[in-house]
Amino acid sequence: MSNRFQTLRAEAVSLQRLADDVAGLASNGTDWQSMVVAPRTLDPDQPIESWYLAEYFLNAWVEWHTVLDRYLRYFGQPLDRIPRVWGRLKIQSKELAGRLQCDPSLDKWIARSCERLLQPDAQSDADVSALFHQVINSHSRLALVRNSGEQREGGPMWRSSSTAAWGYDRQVKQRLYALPFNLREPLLWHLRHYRHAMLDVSWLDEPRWNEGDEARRSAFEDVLGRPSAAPPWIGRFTDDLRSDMPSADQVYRVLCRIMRAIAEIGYECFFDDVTSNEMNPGPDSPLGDEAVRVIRKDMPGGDPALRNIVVGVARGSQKRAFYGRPNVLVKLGETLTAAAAPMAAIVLVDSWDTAEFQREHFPAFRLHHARGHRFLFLLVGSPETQVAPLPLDLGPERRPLATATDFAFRRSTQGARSEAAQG
Amino acid sequence: MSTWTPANLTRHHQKRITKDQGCFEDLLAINGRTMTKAEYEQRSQDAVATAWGEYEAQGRDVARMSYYPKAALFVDNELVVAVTDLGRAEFLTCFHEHFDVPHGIDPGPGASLSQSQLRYKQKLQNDERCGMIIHVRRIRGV
Repeated sequence: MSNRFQTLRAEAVSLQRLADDVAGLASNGTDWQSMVVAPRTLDPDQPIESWYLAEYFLNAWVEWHTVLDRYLRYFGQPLDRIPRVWGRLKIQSKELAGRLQCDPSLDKWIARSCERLLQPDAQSDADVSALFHQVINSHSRLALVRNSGEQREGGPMWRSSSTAAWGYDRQVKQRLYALPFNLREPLLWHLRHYRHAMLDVSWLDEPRWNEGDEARRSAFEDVLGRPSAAPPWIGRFTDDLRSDMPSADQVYRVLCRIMRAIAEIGYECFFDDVTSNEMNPGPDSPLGDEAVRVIRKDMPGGDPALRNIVVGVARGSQKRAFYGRPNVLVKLGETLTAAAAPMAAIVLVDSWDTAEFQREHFPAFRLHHARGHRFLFLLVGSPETQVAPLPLDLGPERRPLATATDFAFRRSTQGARSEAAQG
Repeated sequence: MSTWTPANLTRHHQKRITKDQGCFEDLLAINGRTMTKAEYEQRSQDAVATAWGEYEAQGRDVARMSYYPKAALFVDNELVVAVTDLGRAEFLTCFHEHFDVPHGIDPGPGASLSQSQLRYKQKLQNDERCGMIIHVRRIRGV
């Protein structure tokens, strides 16, 4: 069982307890200022503000069900992976959230908690950790009010909370704009990790991440940016491939997705996900297509004949490590040797040794190329969102400048000349 | 019992009375003067003694883009966080968690202990998600 699934399971247990505690509050006329006990969540002797418990539940619900939905698509997991009890929890929580989000007095309490954070004279103190928390806090509040809008067809039910959350977000954006350039990358590193933890990748929610109206983009979405365009070399590579491989369009799709995934979550997280035993490559995965076979410790199941693209991902250059670059290249060679038909091979490495490749792998890969397999080697740069192709030519050996025949011809010509001179 | 090295106590006390001016003074109900080193030392020891939350983790050194060695963290009712080495012998730092907004705003004045606890757990969860802390081992309360 993977860590991610375990996290979802632990969160489901907490959410169920919260839902049980909050169930009694979701009725008309609740005094949100009152103190209640939440014996399933907290110490039964410790009361808590009703409005805060409700807000805490709503946040937990929005996060859990959003990440669960994304998880199934991102990792290509079947719906029946979800325990039945989670299905019941979804129904119960959705109904409960719907009732809470109809209550205008709760809206006012939640708006008030957000308004407290508004400080018109606040300046950026150039603290990455502080700014990160503000961006995330604002993003969570907006997710809540956006969700309240989804619950109602007529738009956001929680007008006060929505106004307060967007007001706070504008303040956070101003602080982001004032952030010194040298602190931008450390902040982005943390935001990328958060994005990865929440599986908030752009291809799973295109309309939100491609939102054209700046005012409707949160500080989080703004700083991480819109999905970047596919690098031009992908088109050039797949155009060259088109004459050799019918799957060139598939390769194009896969490369575009891999580049987008690495740009959004970084190579470290991409590597962890695609080598995880829960990754089933599919159209919503960071690999972009079910035709992809990843070189990993437990080779994924399925009919290898249906997989005509192989992806190798390496971390480091240790020879003994499974995912060390030398071993990934060896495993790739084995996969290609066993392949019944030509495959497109995409190899991602975070380090490179030209001499080692030339010495230990070049002859074998040239043979694979001669058998019809095609390769693209990609080097991860710095920051780890940057990737560029390595210049490798595995094609037929070029005609050397001078061949043995040329040499013999020159010698014989020279010999003839000298003979003529002597004669 | 955890203790401070003199140099570290001086450094962190100085930081608290300059960068977080008024924060610990408010917690200790000190009026018209700054908190003394002895008061700060005592408050950090109280945080360990009365903590509801205890966990171990490696925090991020944002400037160096690397992680500090694993440490033990204690959180008390007022969200004073005392950080010691893994052996619980030496204090590394002690601060008041007010969630990156000025002291007294989040949670708001008069917030219940339960609200503070849930707010802290939420922050811890986000810190884990973004790599601000790693290798978290929850011992109690969090």
